[in-house]
Amino acid sequence: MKRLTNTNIKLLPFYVVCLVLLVWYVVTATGLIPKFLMPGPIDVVQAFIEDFGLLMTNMWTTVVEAFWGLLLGVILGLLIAIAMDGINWLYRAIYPLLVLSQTIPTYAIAPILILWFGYGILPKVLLIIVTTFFPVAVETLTGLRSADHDLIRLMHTMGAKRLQILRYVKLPASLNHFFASLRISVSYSIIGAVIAEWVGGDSGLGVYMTRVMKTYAYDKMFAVIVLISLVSLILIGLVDVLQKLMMPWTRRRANK
Amino acid sequence: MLLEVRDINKSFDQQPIIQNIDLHVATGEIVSLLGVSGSGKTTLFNIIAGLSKPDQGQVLLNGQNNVLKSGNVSYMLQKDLLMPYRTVLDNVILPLLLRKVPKKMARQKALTLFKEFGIDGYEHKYPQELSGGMRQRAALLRTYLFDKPLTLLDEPFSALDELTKRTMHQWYIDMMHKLHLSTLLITHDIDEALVLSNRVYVIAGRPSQIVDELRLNPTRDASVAFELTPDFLTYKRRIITDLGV
Ligand SMILES: Nc1ncnc2c1ncn2[C@@H]1O[C@H](COP(=O)(O)OP(=O)(O)OP(=O)(O)O)[C@@H](O)[C@H]1O
Ligand SMILES: [Mg+2]
Repeated sequence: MKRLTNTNIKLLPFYVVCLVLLVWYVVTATGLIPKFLMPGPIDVVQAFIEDFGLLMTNMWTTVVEAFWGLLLGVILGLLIAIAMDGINWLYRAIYPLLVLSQTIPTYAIAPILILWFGYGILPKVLLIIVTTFFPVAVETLTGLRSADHDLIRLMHTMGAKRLQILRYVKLPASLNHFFASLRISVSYSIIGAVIAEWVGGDSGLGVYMTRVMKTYAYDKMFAVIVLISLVSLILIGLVDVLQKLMMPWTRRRANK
Repeated sequence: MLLEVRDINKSFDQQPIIQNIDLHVATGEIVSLLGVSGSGKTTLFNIIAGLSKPDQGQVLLNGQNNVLKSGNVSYMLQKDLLMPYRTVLDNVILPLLLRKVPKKMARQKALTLFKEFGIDGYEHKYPQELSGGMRQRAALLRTYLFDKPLTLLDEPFSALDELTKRTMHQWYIDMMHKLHLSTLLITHDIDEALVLSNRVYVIAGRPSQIVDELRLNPTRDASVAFELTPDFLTYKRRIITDLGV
């Protein structure tokens, strides 16, 4: 067998996607799976173009909810991580609670939040906070605790205060972990928004989904699913860009 | 007296590491502490720097008690400990930033010293892009910018090859005089101790004690390399006997 060249390896995911699309096209176009159950890729693109304006307005709602939920969830996660790292009894007190909180299926509290806070943006943002703060808190805490002890000693020899050690040693040491968790939380935030919209709302991709479901518009269902995963992909891409900007040293080559 | 260490004892897990350590450093001196690996040299430095508590004894810095008071000596630890996420410039200004000097002023001050420390042109590189010798110089500059009357150096040149080491020795002696530094340094290289120092303490035994103190002739002839004189060999033989190696 011919060995794969470097460019070929980079293009491999692209080939796989093409193959999947092709298989999808063939099974639907030949009627192997009946059209009323599963639309072909071309039908989905048509549905997407047809409803483009509507999809964009709904997407905007979802993205805004995800943005606020994620922002607040990340801030909460960071604060929890920093507090737990700095204060030992707090670590002992909160850690079991934190783990316990994750045994609750967070998406299942969406109905309660809707009942309490209505159809507006608030319950969505709350649900996203609940689902996104945990990965950030746990990962960032691991990062803070992984800071080089000798570096902390060096800081002590230079008379550093606790907050200075946090700023100059611990936070930089946790950046890698933080961004890893942010990538997870970004996709959680979109999923959280969509699920909360299913349960109740006036606008958003989740609302759009429930509406097209009621009319059995499979092509539109598929179009919105593709859109949701595109939005997640773009947001994860943005996180990568942000990470590159905030960690410029990772792009420099090592001396050895 | 700049530094006076009196009768220091320290154990770890009931195991005595160092015992009855007495030593001093006067202003302007370079003093070496020479001993084999594991003899407790770093342990003693941590006590002098106020990072760890002796079981017994006193540390006086300009006559003031310095036990468990960190931040009063410029201490270069055994590793260079440059932060991979800060440029060389931002690494060396760290002690100034911790003292709340505005970043701009700190950078200005440090930039004037890069040439002196032989790392000009590397200001905006990251430490991982530097060679071992360059990193060591950067760590020395950071230590210098901490700007305390006494400098402690824990094996500052041990990571360097023989040739680079020689250059660094001469450079450090020149710097010492130019910048009026006082230094206590750890080494397990006998030649290095003899070339660099005004005095050498030899630490040996189990638990370790100061077993010898050498005063090197201050009026030695600069035109002849000290390492090539008979005196040098006499000193070296004495230290080897002290260490029992
Ligand atoms: N925090 C600690 N807890 C327990 N034992 C320790 C601790 N620090 C040092 N030791 C022990 O004390 C002894 C002396 O260690 P130290 O690091 O002071 O030696 P050193 O002379 O600096 O050696 P080297 O030249 O290899 O750096 C070693 O046996 C070490 O295992
Ligand atoms: Mg040591």
